[in-house]
Amino acid sequence: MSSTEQGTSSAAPAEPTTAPESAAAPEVPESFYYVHGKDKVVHKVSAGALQHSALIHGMISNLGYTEEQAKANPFPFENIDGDILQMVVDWCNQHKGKPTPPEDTNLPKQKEKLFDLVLAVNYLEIKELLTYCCKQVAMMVKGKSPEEIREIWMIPTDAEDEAAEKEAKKRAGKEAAGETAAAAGDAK
Amino acid sequence: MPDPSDTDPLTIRHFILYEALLKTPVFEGFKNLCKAVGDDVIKYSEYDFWYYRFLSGKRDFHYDRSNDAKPIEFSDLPSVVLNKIVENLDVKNRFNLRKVSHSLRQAIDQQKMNLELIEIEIQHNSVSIGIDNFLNEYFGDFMKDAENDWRILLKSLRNVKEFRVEIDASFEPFFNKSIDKIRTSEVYISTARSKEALEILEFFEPEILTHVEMKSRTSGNIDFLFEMEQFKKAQYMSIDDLGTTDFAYIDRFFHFKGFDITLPAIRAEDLLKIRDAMVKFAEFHTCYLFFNAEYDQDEIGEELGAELNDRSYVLKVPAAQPNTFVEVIIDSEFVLFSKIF
Repeated sequence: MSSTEQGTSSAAPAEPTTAPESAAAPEVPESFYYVHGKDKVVHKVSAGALQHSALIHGMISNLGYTEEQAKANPFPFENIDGDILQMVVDWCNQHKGKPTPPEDTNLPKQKEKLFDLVLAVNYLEIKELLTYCCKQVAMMVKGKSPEEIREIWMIPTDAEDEAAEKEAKKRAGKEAAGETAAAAGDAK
Repeated sequence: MPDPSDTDPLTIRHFILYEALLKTPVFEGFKNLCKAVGDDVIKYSEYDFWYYRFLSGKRDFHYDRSNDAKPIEFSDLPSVVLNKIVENLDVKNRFNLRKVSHSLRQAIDQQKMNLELIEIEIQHNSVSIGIDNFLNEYFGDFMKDAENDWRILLKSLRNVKEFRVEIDASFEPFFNKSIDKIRTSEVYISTARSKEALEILEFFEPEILTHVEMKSRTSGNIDFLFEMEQFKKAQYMSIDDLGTTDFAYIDRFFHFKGFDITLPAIRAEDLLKIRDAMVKFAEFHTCYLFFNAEYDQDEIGEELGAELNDRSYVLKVPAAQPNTFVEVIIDSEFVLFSKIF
């Protein structure tokens, strides 16, 4: 049981023990948490919506914050752009407590935005949204030739990759040699 | 040669706006632009950025991207994401993606696929490999590519529902010790000689295989088949065009749901033995018998006490299972046993 549930159940009036289990659960006030991204804009999100994120859900399960404490301590996600975090929060709100549909057509189509979203969603561990995003990334190259895929995803050829690696090694070697020479100079 | 003013960034952005207004699919529009003003004028990522910006209604042609954070590249995506992307691609797209880079090749080769159908046709001068609804044909200098693609395909295969093999030349480059047992429930094998069909059958995982159909252009001894695990574990076996089955082996067929075989000659007592097996075994539902030697349909029909119905003799007896019958049809070309419910 999460600490949030513990907190609310202790505040709720005691239920008669004879109540049948199938009876509707009493309406409990929803708890909210706060998150912000790189732009420091704080978003208020319900615990229900945040359940989509395994990372945040894990964090709040262990905290047992009161409303005031949660407000005073927004979760900082400095590695996520504000507009991307907004997209994630909107998605979590839209899909709160609902079964997720087989596909989602509202994801950004622009490559850079989509890649940003993929990284954020992967970090926040939102399984369903990650599945949709990866599907959308795959769609970008469906039916494309290897050359076209390289162009779209900006992937160097293996030969270019090897050349870049060689160049980097050469540079590292030179730098190391420079450092050794400098160290030798210092020793003198 | 495009006019230098055509390749000015601001002009290019106007060209992109034009494609965005037309809602030309993004990559198609990019190709159009490259065709008109040259391949090196703009990178796809840049085009993609402006295209979607214009599409969303922003028309700030002078927007300065230099202050934007460095965009995330495909190579920044972690392997767990890469694997999930690959999961969404069918086999044709995976084959294309494999050719893109080493890391993608690794991501693809790690993932096992479940397929509907694999077909391979090996001829002297050509090979065709069909995977689900996609077919690749290889000729002459490209035969080595076929071997390579085949190896990759089998390596990345988890399960396939149906497997079809047609062989007219040496199959060693495609079926050899380096491949793991292929996991399929249905296999269709066609070869020049029956011995080759049995050799191919050995490459299939007996625990999964239920349906086997084999044929060869020349009939040979098939006794080895009856010792194979693939034979013992299958539920359906069609080998009437593969070779002649010695009736001495008939007991080994009664675990099947159905089988089609060719016997050397027809004998009433043999037919009765099969009929009695079908009466007894609940799972045994159908059997086609063909014969090498010609036979007198009337003689056999009368010997069995069957009734002449149209041009066939029919014998019907109750099966051991309630409300079920075994029907034997003696045709001039074949004998058919079937269970009727």
